[in-house]
Amino acid sequence: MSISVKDLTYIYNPGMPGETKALDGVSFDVADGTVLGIIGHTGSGKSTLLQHLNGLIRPTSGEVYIGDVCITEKDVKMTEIRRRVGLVFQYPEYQLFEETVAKDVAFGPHNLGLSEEEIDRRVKEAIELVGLDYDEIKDVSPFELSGGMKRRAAIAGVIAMEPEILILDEPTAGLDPAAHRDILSMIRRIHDEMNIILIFVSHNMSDIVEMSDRVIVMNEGKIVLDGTPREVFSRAEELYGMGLSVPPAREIIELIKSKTVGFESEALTIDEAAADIKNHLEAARA
Amino acid sequence: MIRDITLGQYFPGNSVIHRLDARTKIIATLLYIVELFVVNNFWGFIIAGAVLAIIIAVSKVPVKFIFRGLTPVLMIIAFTFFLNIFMVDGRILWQWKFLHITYEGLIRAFFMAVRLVLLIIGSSMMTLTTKPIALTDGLEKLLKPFSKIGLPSHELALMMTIALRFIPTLMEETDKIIKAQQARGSDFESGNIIQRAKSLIPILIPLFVSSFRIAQELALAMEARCYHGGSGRTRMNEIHFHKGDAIAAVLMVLFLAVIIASRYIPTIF
Repeated sequence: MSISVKDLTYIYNPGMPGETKALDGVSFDVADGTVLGIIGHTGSGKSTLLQHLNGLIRPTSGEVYIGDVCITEKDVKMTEIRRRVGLVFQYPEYQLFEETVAKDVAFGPHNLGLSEEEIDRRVKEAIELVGLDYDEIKDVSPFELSGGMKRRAAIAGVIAMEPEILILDEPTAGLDPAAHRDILSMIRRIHDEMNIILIFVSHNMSDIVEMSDRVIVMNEGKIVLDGTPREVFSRAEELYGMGLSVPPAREIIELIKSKTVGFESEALTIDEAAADIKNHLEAARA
Repeated sequence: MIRDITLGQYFPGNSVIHRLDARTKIIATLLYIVELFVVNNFWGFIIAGAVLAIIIAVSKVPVKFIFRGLTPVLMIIAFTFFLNIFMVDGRILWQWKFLHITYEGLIRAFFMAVRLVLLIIGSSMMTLTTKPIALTDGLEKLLKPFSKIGLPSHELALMMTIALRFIPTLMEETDKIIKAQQARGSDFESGNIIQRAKSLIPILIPLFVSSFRIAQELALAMEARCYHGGSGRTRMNEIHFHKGDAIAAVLMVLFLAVIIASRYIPTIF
């Protein structure tokens, strides 16, 4: 499975007061198995882009290919696209509605028209995959769960559709640090086990570094930077100029570099930074 | 879809009409509606229509925008039109079994349709040119005298403010939930009426839950800022009548006189 986006443009409220170009000639390709991180300040067009990838929004112009299917054509079958591309919105727990967690997770598979046994199998697998205990939780009302568990249940609802591409819009927003870590490792596990393309939006630069193979930076509806986390975060000045930042570890490294003669480091994570500082100190002592 | 409904929306601007006191506009609108029912002939409608056209021109609200607000009520207008055509007795023009169209019915239906269109455009001109907050402030002031006989004018105005304030929020919320459920493969467009009604459940339940959450947060935020109801409450922006409002009042009286006079203009019909 691969994604190919060609010259995508989307205009909100064309011809109305408040006409805005949310996307402006966006093009990129994503290879199979990639974890793609997207960053950009609020209103840069990230969410609009994500909604194009499973056909929730039709572009003003441009094309989106999922595999070799052009999903921006008029007569394309939407349920098929929704099955292959799973989209988890921001605060997905607000979409829970069923009496029990199991029923809620089964909502997507039901819509796909699968058999009862297949639905049961998928629900069980999805719930376990997001790190919840199926037997314990299947008959509980989703509204009785804690915030972090609700979010997992909601994500399970999308995973149960067994998408080949999983898109998450700020999956860790508003969670406490423990739940934040849990969700991240859960996403990592889902990617590894299901062997899918994973696309996620985050404002947490450490998460981006930790998770992604590739990072896309959006600003005013355009892709301005595209590369590995190391390439992207080496352009600190540009990122700050767009209201973004670099990971905290890198910030500290830059600060040390500006005050220490002969200290070189390209560290992005705390571990890398610690190693580089240790090396420098040992070299200085010797 | 839902976003296309312009009825009750505010269109930002700084025209003479925008700057009028909300109370003036509320009274003018009520008066205009009453006048539409005073009108009984062709000339009256021309005058009423011309006055509305002038108001629209002065307000600088795009005509396209106003007419878009009319589309959702088109069905109702068409319905009243056909009902009137067939229900009025008089000189028969066309007949088929129990159905008949009369000359009088045709005129009555036409008048009723014009009346409805003018009524809707007229009242949407008020909301289009007045900020919702100003509108509720004006309403509160207008209703103030009635608080002596127990009408909770402040509470009513507050309820209206909150309701208006949360229309866009709830629309956004609905839009988000619809998209989220569509992403899980739900289909709102096909199936019979029962299936379609059922497909609304995954939208309505999260929407209810969200509304309660939003209401609770709002209540807490108001408590935290020591809100305690209307008595003894002062305002940051007191509303005052200006010269424009006086002129508007004179024009309103003039318009009323013309409309009443129009009843006595002999017409060809």
